[in-house]
Amino acid sequence: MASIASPLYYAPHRRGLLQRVWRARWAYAFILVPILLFSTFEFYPFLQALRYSVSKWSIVGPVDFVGLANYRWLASDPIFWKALWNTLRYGATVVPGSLSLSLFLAVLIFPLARAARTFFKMAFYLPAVASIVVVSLVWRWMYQPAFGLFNYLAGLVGLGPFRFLTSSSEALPSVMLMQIFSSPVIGIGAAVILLLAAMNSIPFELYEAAILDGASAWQKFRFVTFPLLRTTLTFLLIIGTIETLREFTAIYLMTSSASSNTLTGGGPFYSTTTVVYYIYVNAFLTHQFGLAAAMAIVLFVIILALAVLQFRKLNLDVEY
Amino acid sequence: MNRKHLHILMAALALVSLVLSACGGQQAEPQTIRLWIWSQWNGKTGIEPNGQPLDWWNDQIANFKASHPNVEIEMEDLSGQDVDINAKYDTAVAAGNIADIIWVDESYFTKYASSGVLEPVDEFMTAEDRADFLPNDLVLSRWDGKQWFWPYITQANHLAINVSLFKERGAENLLPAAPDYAWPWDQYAEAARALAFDRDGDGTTDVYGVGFGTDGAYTMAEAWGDHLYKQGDESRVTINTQNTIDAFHALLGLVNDGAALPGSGTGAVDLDTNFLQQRVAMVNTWGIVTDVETLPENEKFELILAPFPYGPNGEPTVWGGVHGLAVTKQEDPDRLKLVMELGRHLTSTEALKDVRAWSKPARVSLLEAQRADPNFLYEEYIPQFEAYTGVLIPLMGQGPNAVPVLVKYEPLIEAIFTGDLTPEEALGQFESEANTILSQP
Repeated sequence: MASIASPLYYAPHRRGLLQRVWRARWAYAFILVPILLFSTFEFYPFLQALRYSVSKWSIVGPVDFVGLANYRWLASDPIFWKALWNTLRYGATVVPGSLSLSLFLAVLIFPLARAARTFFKMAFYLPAVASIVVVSLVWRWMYQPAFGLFNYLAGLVGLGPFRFLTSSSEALPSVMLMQIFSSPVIGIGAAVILLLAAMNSIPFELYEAAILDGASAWQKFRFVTFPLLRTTLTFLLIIGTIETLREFTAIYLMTSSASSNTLTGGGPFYSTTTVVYYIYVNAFLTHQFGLAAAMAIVLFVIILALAVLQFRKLNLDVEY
Repeated sequence: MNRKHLHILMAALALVSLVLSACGGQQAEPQTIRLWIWSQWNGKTGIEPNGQPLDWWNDQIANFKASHPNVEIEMEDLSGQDVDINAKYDTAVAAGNIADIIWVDESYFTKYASSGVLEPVDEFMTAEDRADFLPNDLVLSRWDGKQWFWPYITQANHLAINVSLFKERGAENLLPAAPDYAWPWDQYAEAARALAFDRDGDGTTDVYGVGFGTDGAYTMAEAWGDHLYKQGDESRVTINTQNTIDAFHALLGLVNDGAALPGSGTGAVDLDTNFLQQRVAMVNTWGIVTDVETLPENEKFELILAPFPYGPNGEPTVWGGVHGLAVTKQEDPDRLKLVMELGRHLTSTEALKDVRAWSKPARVSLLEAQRADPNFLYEEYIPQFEAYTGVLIPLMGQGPNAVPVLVKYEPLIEAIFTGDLTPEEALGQFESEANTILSQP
């Protein structure tokens, strides 16, 4: 029994909490560092962004509180709505497109012999290893309407010429295609590797049972493979959604002028402007940091809502 | 001498030495100057085979330190797009640690000048300096009646023309001629159509007559008579006129006729690489001479530089720019003087006179030094440089709203060439949006 002089002598409920904390003191000590880092480099900047979102600030002057004026401006800004529509369209195409293709490839690769499987895994993952900067510039060149590789190949089969990045209707799909095939995060490379690893962990007995029941290949996929890949697919869906909704690098590199003094990318005519790109324009070109912060908060809310929705609806445990 | 006298003497000596050491300490106090630059050539002269980007800068800093031994200079090379450099400046200003001397150009400096970040250089610019700088460079570095930085490179968005392709097509008569290289729109358009051809007879165009980016398009439009702003008045845009509409229709005509590189008028078209590979005969460029001159021998071609063609009511035009070194706010007048001295030194004739890169100097004396050198590789370009820099205009304006207005302009110009808007619609929409920006406090 602790004496009244002991630091452990407290009222019963406080003694319990403090004792629990004291018992787990090393755990708290170890997580203190990441918490401090998170607070300093993530949470504090987030609070500052919230502050700037209700302010007018051009970085070289004072921070003036303006209430919800920035948010009201966004609500009436047709370019912001265009950017939001581009972003959602981008996410809704790239993520399912990448996942579908990755799943299809994984199903094709999985039954192969070990050596062949290793070869294909390496072949699909290699583009993901390259810097997104290099990949974007290479694809930009392949997309050149005159003398680009894609129009040359299209011409061989009697198609095209296409305008790709120089057309307001073709530019965004062009960037989407690049991301599906080459993105290190949401491209097919990383997804194929993860899906193959997940498929490897499915007990073979389940397939044996399915075979004994007379299941076709499609039925085996539908009732055994797909349900047991759900966790991995959910993870890829959430990560992919977050990444696509934050798209900036590929847009900046593929649509900004390489050889002139043109200030703005995200074109032509805003056709590839995403929310994050529009944040960049407002922050660093027109120096409206308050407006840019407001956009960032809106995007944060959207991404958070989508991530929570996906996690709740899709992350169901499956057991056999 | 008794003990009391000895103590008094020692105290007096200590006091004297204290005073003397304080004086000596003020003179010997080391100063550190931080310098952010954008290196534009390799090597000390720009033409050494193994020259490094910072050779010239290190050499000039050493020269300055020889006469200022108590000065330390910390230099950082910011080579890259000017948009991103200015994003770095924004962050540094917010953090309170911007360098003492920073590279600037005509696009962004007014934001910092109007916010009190920069020091005007007038007081430190001698009459000889003013007479030596190219007049347009002084105009482009001036705002609110003051000079805000030391110019050292004259930039311009101008035409680069592949003369070898003109000769291949027997169209030399269509080239602009010395001394002013000025040419009317009809001649340019005729040349563009003549220089678009199928070289190997397979039915596809192998060479295009012209290629232009978004900036080339709206610069060419300004050569038809009207400008983004009336000179000296940036309270509203004045570009939505019949002259400009006609200019964009004329440019669209080149695109529709197949004379222009596909994608012209948009930001994603790659002009420099196609021009260097001789797939397009004329492009707008901010600088391509060095790239052409350093091509392998079997790929080199003859090049001339020219202003943009002028429309029926216009005159030869290029979009003028200038790079320079600006001095940021200094608390101490003596330190300000020292930092200004370094800025002036780095942009002086004395420092730059041996540079033999295609450096597009901002001083007349440097042009003369290059012209007088019989071994100067780019001597033939000097008259062309003088011709097009003589018709510089500050296209995007110089007020604090210059960049926000241009950010509205460019997508609308792209929309003309993607077919989303007609020139009339694009210019009308731009006028409305730009004047809204300009009318805000």
